[in-house]
Order: sequence, then structure tokens, then C-alpha cells
Amino acid sequence: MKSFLRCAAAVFYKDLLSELRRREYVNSLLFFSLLTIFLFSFAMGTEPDLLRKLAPGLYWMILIFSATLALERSFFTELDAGCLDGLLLYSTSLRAVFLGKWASNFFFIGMVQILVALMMTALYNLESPRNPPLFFAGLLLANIGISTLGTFYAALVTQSRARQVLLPLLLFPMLIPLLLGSVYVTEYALSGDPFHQATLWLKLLVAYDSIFLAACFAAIEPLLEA
Amino acid sequence: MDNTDPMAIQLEGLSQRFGRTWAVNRLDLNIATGEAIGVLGPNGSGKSTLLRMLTTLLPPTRGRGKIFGCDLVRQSGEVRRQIHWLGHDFNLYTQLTAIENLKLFFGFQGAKADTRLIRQALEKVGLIPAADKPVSAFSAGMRKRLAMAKIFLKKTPLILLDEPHTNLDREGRDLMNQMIAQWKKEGATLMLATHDHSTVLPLCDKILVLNNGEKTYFGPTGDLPKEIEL
Repeated sequence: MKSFLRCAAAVFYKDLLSELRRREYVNSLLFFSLLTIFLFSFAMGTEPDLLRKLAPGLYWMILIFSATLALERSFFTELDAGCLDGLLLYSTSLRAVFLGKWASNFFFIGMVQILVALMMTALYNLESPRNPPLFFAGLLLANIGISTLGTFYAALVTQSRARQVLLPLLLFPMLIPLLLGSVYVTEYALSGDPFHQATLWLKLLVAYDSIFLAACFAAIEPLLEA
Repeated sequence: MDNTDPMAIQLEGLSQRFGRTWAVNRLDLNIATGEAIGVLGPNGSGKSTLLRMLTTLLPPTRGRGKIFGCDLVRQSGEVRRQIHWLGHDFNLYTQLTAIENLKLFFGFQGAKADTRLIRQALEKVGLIPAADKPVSAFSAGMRKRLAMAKIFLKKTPLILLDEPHTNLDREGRDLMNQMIAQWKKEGATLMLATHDHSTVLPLCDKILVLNNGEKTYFGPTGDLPKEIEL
């Protein structure tokens, strides 16, 4: 177990350090998010009530597009100089590699979640959430789901030339339940939830995360070997 | 590097097909533990494909193979623990420094990085002055040396080297030859694939000659018939 966690930590540390030195990935994510926020505000008009009403949906749309950009590069960077072969040959376990990749994607997506939320609050003149714990619970559960399926599909399409098209094609339909749950939880967190309706959506997100985390973890080894 | 199995490599009809071409065709081979084998042949003769199959990264199209008694397909995990592979790609992360790459190598194996061993390995390959420089600033020869340093960090009973002298200057080639001699002395089984026979003949006990994926000679280096096309 110790060596498994060490291997996962090494993959996570490597991704983080590479990105800190390269910075192209985080910078492009931030600019993409900022640009999309602006574009949506131009498309929707400057009516503050309308922007406030649409904010939860827009937030998750922007986030899923940005996350896809991040996820697409997740395993692709390993193709440079045969690093994927190195991981296959020398890593303790391919599940540990998956866990490390999952953790780095979780970190990057989490960072984008916070920054997009702050940018949208400032640019759309939104109020802070009425129920902050619910808001952050929604972010956390959605991030777990996106990172899990995203990392898995990124591994699946990484050797394909059409991976930039394939990843959203495979990922987006699978994220529909998660998107639905996240939008409702965010809406209840922003506007209040007097009848505790968010609980049902939170349960859906927990179930979604548990199922896909277990399934992806079980299937990743044969997938990477193939 | 201890391995009590008398046979390091056993291949029965091992074949690999790419499209309609058989890159390796019905290869039977038995290699004893501790032997150094030179795999010779022109470009496209199947040398790299054979080595890649032995790493388990490329499953054979047909036939069977065993490394120290472990099946290449069914026991790929056990096989991987017993081999070290130095191929055309060096498995290096260019944003990271030489030391960070070697530390990661320990990390991937779930082990704590041994800084003293890392320093020793870098010293052996002559990369101490560049230890803290990012690999992106390295020349191809320096990258190869760094990849060679990894072999010192993971002692395995089987070492597979694909074109071991490529990208190396004269000093680097001498260093590689010294390392090969040392691994042999330590009891490792070695397999070296190259098209340059002059560099490997003095280093190997036996020679395997491949041509169009088929074995045309396998035997002691000294008995290599002159009519064999290398």
C-alpha cells in the first residue's frame, strides 16, 4: 500500500512540477475561461437579473469546456519521449498511475473552479452563495466525477490522432447526470434551499462519483495495457 | 540481480505481424542466464520489434515467450520487474532536471529516492555538472547517458538495449562498453540490438542474426560464418 501511494504521489508531483515550469496549460485554461465568461455575457446581454438566473448553468458549461482542455493533455504529455512506456514498465501499479493522474486533474480542475467562480462573481455582479457549504460540496463532488471520467477517457483516447474530438464526444454524454446535479446544487446554494431539495441532487452526485470511481479504477489496468 | 532460473529467455514460434508484414516470424530461441546476446540485422529486420516483445509492451501476434520462467503475456507484471529496457526513447521528462528524473524513477517504483545512489549513478555517466539542469537543455547524448544512469538504480537480471551506442560520442561509447562489461560480470543477461556489428561482437557471447524477421544465425560469436549478411 505504501509503495502504491508513493507511485501515485510521484505521478502527481511530476505533473504539478512540470506544469509549474511550463505554465502553458494553466495559462491557457485561465484565458479560455475568462474569454468564455466574456463571450457569454455579450451573447446574453447585460441584464443583471438574467445573468444571475443563468449563472449556475453558464458556470458549469464554462467549467466543463475548460476541464476538457486540461484533461486532453493529461496522458498526452506521457507520449513525449516514450514516457508512457516508462510508466507501464516501471510503475508499481497502473492503478497508482491513474490515481496520480486523477489527483493532478482534480487539483487543476479545482483551481479552475475557484477562479471561474471568482471571475463570474466579479464580472456578472453576482452575490456570494447563501449556502457556502452546499456550494463547495457541489464543487467537490462535481470535480471528483469530472476528474474520474475525464482521466479515464483521456487514457482511452491518448494514442488516437483524433483525441481532441474523441474526448468531448465520449465524455460529454457521460457527464449529463453530473452536470444536471451540479447545476441544481449550485442554484440552490446561490439562491437558498428552504425545502432541502439539494439533498436529492447531492445524493445523485455521491452515487455517480462512487459508481464511476469504482468502475474506472477497475478498468484502467487493461485499458492502459491495451 | 540474483536469478536462479537457468534459462533467461525461452521463445517458441514468437511472431509479430504489422498489417501484412511479419516483422518477426516463428522465432525459437533459448538464452541461458548470464549470457550476452548481440542481435544483428539490417534496418527493418525485426530487432527492435523482438526487444519490444520481450519488454511485454508489444504482445506477440502468435507464439509464446518466457523470461525467467514467466510468461510474456500472462505474467507481464513479473516479467517487467525483472527487466530494464533502454530503447530509442529515453523515458525522460524534459521539464524536470536530471536529479528529479531519477528521483521520479524511484517514485514510480514505489520506493523512497536514494540520493546517494542517484549521485553515484550520475557520476558514473559523467552528468554531475548537469545534475540540476532541466533535461530540455540536454543534448541527445546527454539524454542517453541519463537514461543509462537509470540502469544503475534498478538492478535487474535482464537488460535489453536497443541501439545502445547511438547518439553517444566516443567517450560515451567507451562508457557504454564498460557498463555492459560490468553488468555481464555481475551476472546479468544482456540483449543488445544493433545494425553495427563491429561494436557488439567483442561484447557478446552469442549472436542472433535476423533478416526479414527470420533467424538466419544463432550461435557463438566466434562461429559466425563469414557468408552471413550483417
